[in-house]
Amino acid sequence: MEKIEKILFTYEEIQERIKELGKIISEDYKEKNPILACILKGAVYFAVDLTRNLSVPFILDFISILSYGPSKETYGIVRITKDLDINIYNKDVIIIEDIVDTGLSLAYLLRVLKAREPSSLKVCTLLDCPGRRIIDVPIDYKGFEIPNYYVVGYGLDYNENYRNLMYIAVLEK
Amino acid sequence: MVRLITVAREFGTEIDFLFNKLSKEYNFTLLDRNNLFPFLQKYLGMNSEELLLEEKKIEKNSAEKEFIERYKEGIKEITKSFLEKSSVILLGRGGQFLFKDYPDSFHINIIAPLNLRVKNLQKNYNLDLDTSMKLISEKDSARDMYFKILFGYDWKDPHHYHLIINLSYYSPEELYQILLKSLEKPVKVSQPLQESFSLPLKVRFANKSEEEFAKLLTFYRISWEYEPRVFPLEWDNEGQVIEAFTPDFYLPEFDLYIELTVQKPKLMSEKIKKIRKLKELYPNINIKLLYGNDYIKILEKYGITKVK
Repeated sequence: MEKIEKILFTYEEIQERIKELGKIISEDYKEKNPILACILKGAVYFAVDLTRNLSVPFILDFISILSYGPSKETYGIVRITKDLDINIYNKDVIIIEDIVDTGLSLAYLLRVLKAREPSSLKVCTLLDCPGRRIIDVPIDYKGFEIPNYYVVGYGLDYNENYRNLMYIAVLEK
Repeated sequence: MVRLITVAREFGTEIDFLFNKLSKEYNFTLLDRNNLFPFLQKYLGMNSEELLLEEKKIEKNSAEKEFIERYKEGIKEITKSFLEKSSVILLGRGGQFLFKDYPDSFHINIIAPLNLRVKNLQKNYNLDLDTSMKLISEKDSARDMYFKILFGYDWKDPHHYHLIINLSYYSPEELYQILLKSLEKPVKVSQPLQESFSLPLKVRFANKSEEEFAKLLTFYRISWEYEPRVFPLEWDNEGQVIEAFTPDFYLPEFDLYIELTVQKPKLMSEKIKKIRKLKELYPNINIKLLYGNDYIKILEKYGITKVK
């Protein structure tokens, strides 16, 4: 099993930043009742802590899409594997991501959710890795910007491991 | 996005339950005579008996002009105050005239043949045929008068509506589906649907990394073209192109060219120079270079490790 090379953000740093994000979002969504569309599975930890720092009413929902992998058929195509339970038409929606890197999956989700005509659609990500960006996607709220590292912990996995780490770390090469 | 739906309907169409359902399922505030009434009393400073009396006077063409104006203004202002908080369905009350040019408003008229309206009344209220016929006749006249007095228009004129539905043909459920379709503003999806998405046929890629990249884009339903355009970079004195650059991919949806490479650093610096030149000559071109370790890390993220 790969080893942790270094800790990028401690639990305390993450919590502090989420607290700030919660405050900003609560201010922006005053008088609104946003739907938080949490992207499974990586964003669960972030979404949970973020909601604890919101002072506005909200609805938490989950969505999951198929990720690309070497085992997929050559012409396999992304699809939603678990859709939102709630109808987002005319609602204020915030997509909650763990990390935005290539922008490919987020671009797909934005396209799919926009077609459902929400009143507004924004993106909140814990980590932003612009060095890997292929498609430029709008990010409205971000926790931390990181270099082109492969990171794990706090919901982010490597082969389904490390999600439960309390911190975010770089894996040893 | 529709903010206001006004609904006119003939007496006996018995269709209000559909708009009640629509309001619940799509978060509209439903305003009808009953729930507007207390607000109107307050606005006009009248008790319910007084207001009822004045409304009767409108139908008999004996209301004072000043009251009529305040009455219309009251309905409009109360509805507007609800519109500040949510989308609204306004049943009756001349909404189609009060909010004729209101942005994002949708005006509907529901009609039905006399026999169907009679049948509805008989079924819903246990009325006999004669009473039903008489009631419809009275209410139709009163309604005609109400709108003429208040707005000076014939409410049956089709030009006042975006949609008129005759219940002689559609069931309530079909009508509901029509309503939903009418309220959707179709979004033009430039991205092809899953069923119609296809890769360019038989592309001969220069290397494995390009092929992997094409698969990745295809998976995420991003249209791509492989080396679709050659950009001349330098010409000789006779106008012959002596240096050119051909980006690997073009993503039409994003108007973005992508060049990727896993070449050795020396060759990469040549490529970087070319891209710099390209940007100078074609400043409006949007191009992204994915190279070396950065590109390999992207592929590794997706579990693709053997790329040379």
